[in-house]
Amino acid sequence: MNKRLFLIIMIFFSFIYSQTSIAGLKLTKMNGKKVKLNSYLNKGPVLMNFWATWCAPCKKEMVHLNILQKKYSKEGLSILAVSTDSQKSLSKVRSYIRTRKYSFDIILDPNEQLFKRMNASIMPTDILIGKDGKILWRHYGYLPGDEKYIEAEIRNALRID
Amino acid sequence: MRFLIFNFFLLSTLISQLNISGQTQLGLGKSKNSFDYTEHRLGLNLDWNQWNGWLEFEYAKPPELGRKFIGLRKFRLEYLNKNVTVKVGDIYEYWGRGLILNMIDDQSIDLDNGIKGGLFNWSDDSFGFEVLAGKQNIWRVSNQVPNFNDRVPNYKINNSIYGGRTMLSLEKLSGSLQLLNIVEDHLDPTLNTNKNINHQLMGFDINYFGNFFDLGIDYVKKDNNSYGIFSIVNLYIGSWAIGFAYKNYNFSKRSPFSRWDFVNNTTGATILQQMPTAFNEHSTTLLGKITHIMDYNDNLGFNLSLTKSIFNDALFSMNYSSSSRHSEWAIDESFNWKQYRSVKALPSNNALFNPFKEFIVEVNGQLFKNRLNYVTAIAVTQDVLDVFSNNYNLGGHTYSYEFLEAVSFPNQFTYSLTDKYSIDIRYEYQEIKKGVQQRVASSTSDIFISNYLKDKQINRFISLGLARSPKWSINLAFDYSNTDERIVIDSKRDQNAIENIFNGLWDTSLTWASLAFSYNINSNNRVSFTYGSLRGGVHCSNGVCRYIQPFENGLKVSLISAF
Repeated sequence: MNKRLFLIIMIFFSFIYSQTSIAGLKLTKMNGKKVKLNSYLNKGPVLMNFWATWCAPCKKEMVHLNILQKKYSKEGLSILAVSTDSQKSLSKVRSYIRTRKYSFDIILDPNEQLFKRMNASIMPTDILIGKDGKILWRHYGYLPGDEKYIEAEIRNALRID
Repeated sequence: MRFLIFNFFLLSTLISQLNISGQTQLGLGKSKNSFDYTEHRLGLNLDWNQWNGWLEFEYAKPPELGRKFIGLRKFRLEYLNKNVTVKVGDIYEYWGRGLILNMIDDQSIDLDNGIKGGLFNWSDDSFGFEVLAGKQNIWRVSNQVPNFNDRVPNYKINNSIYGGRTMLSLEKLSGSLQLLNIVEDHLDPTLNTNKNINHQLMGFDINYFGNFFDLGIDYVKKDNNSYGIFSIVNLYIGSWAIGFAYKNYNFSKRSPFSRWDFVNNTTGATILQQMPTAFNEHSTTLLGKITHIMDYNDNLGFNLSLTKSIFNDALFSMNYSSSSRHSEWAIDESFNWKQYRSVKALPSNNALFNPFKEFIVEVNGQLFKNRLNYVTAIAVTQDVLDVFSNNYNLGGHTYSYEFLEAVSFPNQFTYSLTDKYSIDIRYEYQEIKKGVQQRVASSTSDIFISNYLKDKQINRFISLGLARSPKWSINLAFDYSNTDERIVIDSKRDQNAIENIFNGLWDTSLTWASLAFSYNINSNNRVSFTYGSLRGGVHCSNGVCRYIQPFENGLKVSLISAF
């Protein structure tokens, strides 16, 4: 009985200490072309932000994400705004981003397969991925002021300060 | 002992190569009107080099919406390299804009049209092809079979599916050709027999993404006699974005008597076809409740949108949608519905074509160095919901139809008091006129019979929130009406403690009040509690809507965790 318990505990800890690597993921851009997550990770860490045009807190957060993208893009940060708008409302995504003049890349996930693959649950969800493809931090929802914590995590990932 | 050590090292080696991540979602609800549910989902992703395994376990007894289920709900094994993708198990794909194939698993509206099967995809930067095959078991809600319940689907459809597509992608131009075959095992409830129905779909999509404009055209032909077209143009001129979307879905023209009956009508769009709606998706509470419910079988219309970036980081947007059915139906001398007249290219404004129109103007933005975020809008909605009768005879033209006219003002203001604390105020106001318009023989004017006890329903949604970033938020919401529909008002309400507190200030018999609290335990765990009552009505998610019954005087708990 003790041996079995020991084995279960060891397996459990092996699970816990193993880290998720998702660098090989294929992403779909606005123009339908595929791009690997690796191509962003080669430059530095990636903040994956799941949003939709109908999600009000997501839109509030995007204003700040755009500021962070501009501030840290030279250090290698890429912010990927993953739109979970279904095919029914996808046509509004590009015009929204264009008129807002947001500089981050838009990734499409209309049937939420990437959303599930990244273990996201609600919108918005932010997932910070290190250069080595390991998930460093995640954040659910958006409350005004959260941008300060997001920036602190980005600075940690970029090893600034 | 040696055996144990060997096994331990073997397992450790294997497991250290395998990356495991996952998430759990727990939802519990208990209310005085028996809207009780317990659902728990555990999703696991297992990664090993170019392989990914996905498992989803569920304990739903019962779920918030849908049928009871305990066990392994979904699984998929996926192999991915530079050019090849292979998937075996539960597959969710979309082709083009969903006119042929758009598979979704959306728990919030209980829509799951994925398949169990296999997929092979080969693609490089400019060319690709994909084949898929599998089986699909779908449960839907229908009042044509026994045990009708808004919450639990009661009719099962089994489909066998196979198909393929080829894709071509150039610098700014892309497109694909698609073929899909569906064999539907359809239960006829009257005869209690099953019949196999073959659906063949073929189509294409072409897309151009330029610097100054985008263009997209999707076309599908189903069987020999039905089709669907969707096209979109977006123009970018300075700070303006001008969008025009056009839809023409002509899969099955049905009389007002049978248009929503998919049990006894086996023609029409399949459940795999989840197409663009070409009208605005609402994110506010009161507008969400009057969302137009679209029939994919028979719909013709367009959407015009203007978006412009204006002063102080504000965005102005205007949206106009118009649609109708292709035909007006009338009852003939033998009391059968017959097509009376039709339109082909543009929607009709005639009430007997079930027109829908919506005009929305919205301004949103930030003020005071991003401390204040605001959204203010006005929406005017007109929707003919149902046609009950339409006769052209010697006595003149008589008809009756149900319609809705609404004016809505949704507003939201979020203000940051400090770096951590913020307040959120939502105020939505809505006036609805809804009822039956009818003209009887020998009359030259219409008679209007309101669905409400009053001529107009006035709705107010007020929500007050306080939040402390990044930890918690608390929100008190009131959903108030001055009257309700005659068929609803008789149902007994069970007032909660919040409503009882405010009962002295106003009559809360038609007020649904709730208090919600959310807490981020840490970056991977979040818990939410909602106490009170939530008004029933149409709930929409990603353009698909369904009616959800009220939740009276109860508690909802939800916990989400990632690991």
